[in-house]
Amino acid sequence: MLLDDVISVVIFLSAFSTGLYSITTEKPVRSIMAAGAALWLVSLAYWHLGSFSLALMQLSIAVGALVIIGLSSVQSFEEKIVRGDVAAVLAATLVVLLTPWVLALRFYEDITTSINVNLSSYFPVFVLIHGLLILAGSIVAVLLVRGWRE
Amino acid sequence: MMLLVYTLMSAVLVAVGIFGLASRGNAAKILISIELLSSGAVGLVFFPMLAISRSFVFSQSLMILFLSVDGVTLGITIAVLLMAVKRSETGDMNKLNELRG
Repeated sequence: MLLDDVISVVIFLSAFSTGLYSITTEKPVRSIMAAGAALWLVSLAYWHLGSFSLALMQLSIAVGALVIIGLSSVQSFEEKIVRGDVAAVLAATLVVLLTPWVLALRFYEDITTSINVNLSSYFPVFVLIHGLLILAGSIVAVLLVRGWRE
Repeated sequence: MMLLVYTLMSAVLVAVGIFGLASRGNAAKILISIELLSSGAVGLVFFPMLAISRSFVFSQSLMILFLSVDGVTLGITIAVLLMAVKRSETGDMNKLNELRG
């Protein structure tokens, strides 16, 4: 069995377990975090097959959707957020934000070769700005939802 | 082998999403289930298509279109569910019976 096959099996098992856990757990923040992990793993699978653009789009949707679902559901159901939850959400956000940047930095040559387009050397910075814009947009959307509810 | 495993992963995510939609009444859980279901569905089309067509560019372009539509659909779903929660003042979707009959 090749290393690539082992990696794909590990991603498969992790996505399955986190996806199932997110549906079955009763804790709201854990549920959303687990769903985020499952979607992040799907994104890693795209990356593993060499599709950087699909991986990035998957991450964008995952971050945007889960931040909105998470914060608006907390607002809707009057859940109390404890300090550990905030730390976990911050850590997850940083991972999702920084992973594409680090990967773009590390695999810049591979991406350029695979899509056959001569990308700017600022490409990793643009990826990071893209992630920051999505995050900012999600936070603004949540604030709008909160304002609309109040 | 890799493509087969990833196709299985997508099928499992679709199954988990359907399980969540069928068994849960909470609005946030329903949204999470929809998200898992749609991500799994996109993968379930992409990975076999990659194996069959061997055209990476075509498969990737089509999937970018699917993911974009998926994002828009999710946005509308979130808006509708938030409106439903606001109107009914409950997070339990099983209690919404205005469309019954």
